[in-house]
Amino acid sequence: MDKKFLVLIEVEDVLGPCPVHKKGDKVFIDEPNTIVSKTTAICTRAFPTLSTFVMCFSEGIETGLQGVPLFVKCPATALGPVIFKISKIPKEEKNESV
Amino acid sequence: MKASEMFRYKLEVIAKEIYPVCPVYEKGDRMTIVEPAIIVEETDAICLSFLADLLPYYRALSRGVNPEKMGLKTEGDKVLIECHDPGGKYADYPTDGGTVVFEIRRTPITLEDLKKYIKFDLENFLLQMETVWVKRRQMYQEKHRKR
Repeated sequence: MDKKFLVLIEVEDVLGPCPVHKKGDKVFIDEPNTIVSKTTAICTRAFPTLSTFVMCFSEGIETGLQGVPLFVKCPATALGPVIFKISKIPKEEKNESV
Repeated sequence: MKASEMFRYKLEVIAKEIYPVCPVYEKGDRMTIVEPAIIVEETDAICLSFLADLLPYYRALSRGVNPEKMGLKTEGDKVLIECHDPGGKYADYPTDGGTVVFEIRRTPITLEDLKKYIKFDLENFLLQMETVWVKRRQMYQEKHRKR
């Protein structure tokens, strides 16, 4: 369970009404543990999608377009959508960043 | 058809719009779900990433929950859902992929319809399972009565 990276999911933007998230919300994950004390909100509709990226990022493997943060949106069409940004934080930087 | 027979909806998830490309779906491609199965014979393509997007919704849609209560837009009796990739439709958030908008058509299915999708004898299965369910229920109730 000794992962090299924490995973940070941030709400980059909220493009329409959302009952859960506001811009700047954060979810911190020390895979497989969600660090609840540092997490501001979690949407059960978006999380299944977001969780598919967590294991890769926790091992330092970033997916997506090179040179651009990984953006993921929620699947809703009548709300939002909410745009999430996923990134990794080396664990040695944990105390400064988290 | 009696209301009691209409216990589920078949879901046909159809790629409606593609912004601008998708490595899996072409416009008009279909995935058919009869909860909890994907009906492969009635499916053109399956994107695992999109499945994760759909997972929170498919059971509720199959059981008749109002899509608008789940934050999904409707067009008549069709439900709209988008994949998680903002790259094509939302230009401010570039990715290496594209966005697909799907429409979901829901068709009520009866037990009789369901037989078409199940490879075994459904009535016999339900009969056998009823015995199993009764035993399980009794075991649970006995265990919790002792506490």
